[in-house]
Amino acid sequence: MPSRIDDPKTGANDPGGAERRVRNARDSLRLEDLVSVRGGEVYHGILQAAGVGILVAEIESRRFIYCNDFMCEWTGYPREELLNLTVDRFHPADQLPRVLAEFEAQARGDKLLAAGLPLLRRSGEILYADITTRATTLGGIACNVGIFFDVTERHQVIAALRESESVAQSLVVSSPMGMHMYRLEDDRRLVFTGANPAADQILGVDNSQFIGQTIEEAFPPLADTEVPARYRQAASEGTPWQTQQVDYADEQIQGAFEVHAFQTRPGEMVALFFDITERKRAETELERYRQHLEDLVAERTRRLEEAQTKLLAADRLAVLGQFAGAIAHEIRNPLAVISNAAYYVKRQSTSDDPRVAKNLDRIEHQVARSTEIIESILNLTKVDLPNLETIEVTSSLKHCIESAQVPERIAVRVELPTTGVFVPADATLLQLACKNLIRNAIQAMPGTGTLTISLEKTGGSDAAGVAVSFSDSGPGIPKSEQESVFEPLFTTRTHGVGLGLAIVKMIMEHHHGSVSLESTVGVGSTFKLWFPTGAGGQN
Amino acid sequence: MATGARVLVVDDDRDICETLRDILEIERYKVTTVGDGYGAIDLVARQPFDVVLLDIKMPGIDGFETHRRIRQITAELPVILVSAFAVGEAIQAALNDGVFAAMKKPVPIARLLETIEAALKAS
Repeated sequence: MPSRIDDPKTGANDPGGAERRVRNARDSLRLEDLVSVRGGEVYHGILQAAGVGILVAEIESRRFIYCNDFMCEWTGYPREELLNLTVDRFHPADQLPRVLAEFEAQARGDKLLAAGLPLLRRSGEILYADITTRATTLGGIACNVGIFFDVTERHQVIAALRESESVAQSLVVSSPMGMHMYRLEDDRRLVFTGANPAADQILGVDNSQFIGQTIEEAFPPLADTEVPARYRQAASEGTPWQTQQVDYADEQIQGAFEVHAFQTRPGEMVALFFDITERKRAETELERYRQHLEDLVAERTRRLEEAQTKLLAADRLAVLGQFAGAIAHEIRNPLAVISNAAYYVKRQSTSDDPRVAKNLDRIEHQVARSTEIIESILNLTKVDLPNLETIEVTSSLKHCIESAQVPERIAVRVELPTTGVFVPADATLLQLACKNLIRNAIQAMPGTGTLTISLEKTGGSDAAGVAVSFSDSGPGIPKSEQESVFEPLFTTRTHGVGLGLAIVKMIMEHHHGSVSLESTVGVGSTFKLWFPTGAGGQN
Repeated sequence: MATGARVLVVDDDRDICETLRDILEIERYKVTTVGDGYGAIDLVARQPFDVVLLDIKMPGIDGFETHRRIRQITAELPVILVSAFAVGEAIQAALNDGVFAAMKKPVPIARLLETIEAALKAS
């Protein structure tokens, strides 16, 4: 400040000047003195205009004795106030030991630079400065002349950088995702450079053993996958890559991993991964469960369809039975009239023509046949839910055979045990089923033949029961027709309604049993009734 | 063979009545026919019969009811049910109730004649 320069002309050779310097040294070194000591206004101008702070402190008292304008502006102190401060009060208290140590070292001339020292602005804000100090004697006073460079901004940048580095570091360390770091060498080798703790935990190995190895050396199974190429691409070109599942298995590590790879800096990359083995296992489990459910639904659907088919068949039979039954009854009356009338004519006819008698016989025969058809239709209406009692089968069968009036041309072989065999069955329905099968066998053998009726017990907890077989030596039933014989209204005969076997099947189903057919053309047919005796057949 | 036994034929089907009369008259039975249950009860009340052939399904009262009322008039008169519907529990009940026999139409005449003779002997 030129205005403060009271006597710019006063030079170093002014003899009174030296005395005045000594006098004033205990107070403060005045700018005018400095200027006069250094002998020029130019110095003063330079010091004031400098873009750095200049602060001079007396070493002994550590009191500031000179400051330039920059120093005042920078620290926010008016000059008078700053020149009343000591070093101790110019720096944060917690930094004082370091500051004073630096101050002492500089005073001794041991050190020139104190880097990044904090100092307090008047407002309390902290500034940072690199301080270059030179110890010197000014006007007989031992001083530290400090040049202050403002490094507050740099300090903040460094602090922010440190902060962000520490965040990054803690992310790496505390991340639950495993991390593998690689560096791509000039020779394209992808070298493992490190891993985080999560990687050790997830893989169950100490990953530091891999440092320095190439990815192919560290994890041999990966060599045959796209992984190394993808990692190299991420490292060299910065192309991120991710995959839902990498299956891995070697001696140390097994599992399935989701992987995300990306560049960290040119030529380096990191692979983030987590173990999805459990998730995969759960998914597999879920998939198996879903499949199981589907199977279950399919099975239930199939059973329902089966049941529906059976119901439809049973329903058709029941409706048919009701309808046919009503008609059958009504036909009995006209048949009775025809039969009566024929009988009368036959008895009273005086005709010599033998054809009269023959034709009357035809009428009687056809009435008898019609009656038989009516009976078979009416049997349908009798097939109701069975009234289960414990029936002795052998005597029931014998009774059936006796009442069946098997013609003499057919030999009957009965192979029944001598002891009683008991099954839960409806006596009337059992008789009806057997009667139908015997009549069926008789009709299958228009000439001579043998009807064999036998009984056997079947074993096993599911198959515990009694099977009754009716075998004929008739022509047999071709394979193509074997399925159809149990369907209502199916018949291979020229007469007959085709209800007999349908009725047998219905009866057996009502008993939770079954009827089956084995037949060979030219040998004969065997129909087998099976009655369950286990718990399954009792409901 | 019967010697003029009196047979009452009860059936709403006129042809049944007529053909049975023709057949039974060959065998020298004395045959009366009537078309319903009320007529039958009326006849039984007014004149003696040796056997009744009785249909079941008829207009008015059916054969079972007719049988019960006939029994109230005379317990000795044998009744043979001859019907298109000669099946089921009602038949069994009627047999328990004293009906001599139950036969299904069309009845073979030889068996019918045998049954009538058996009924006549039993009474």
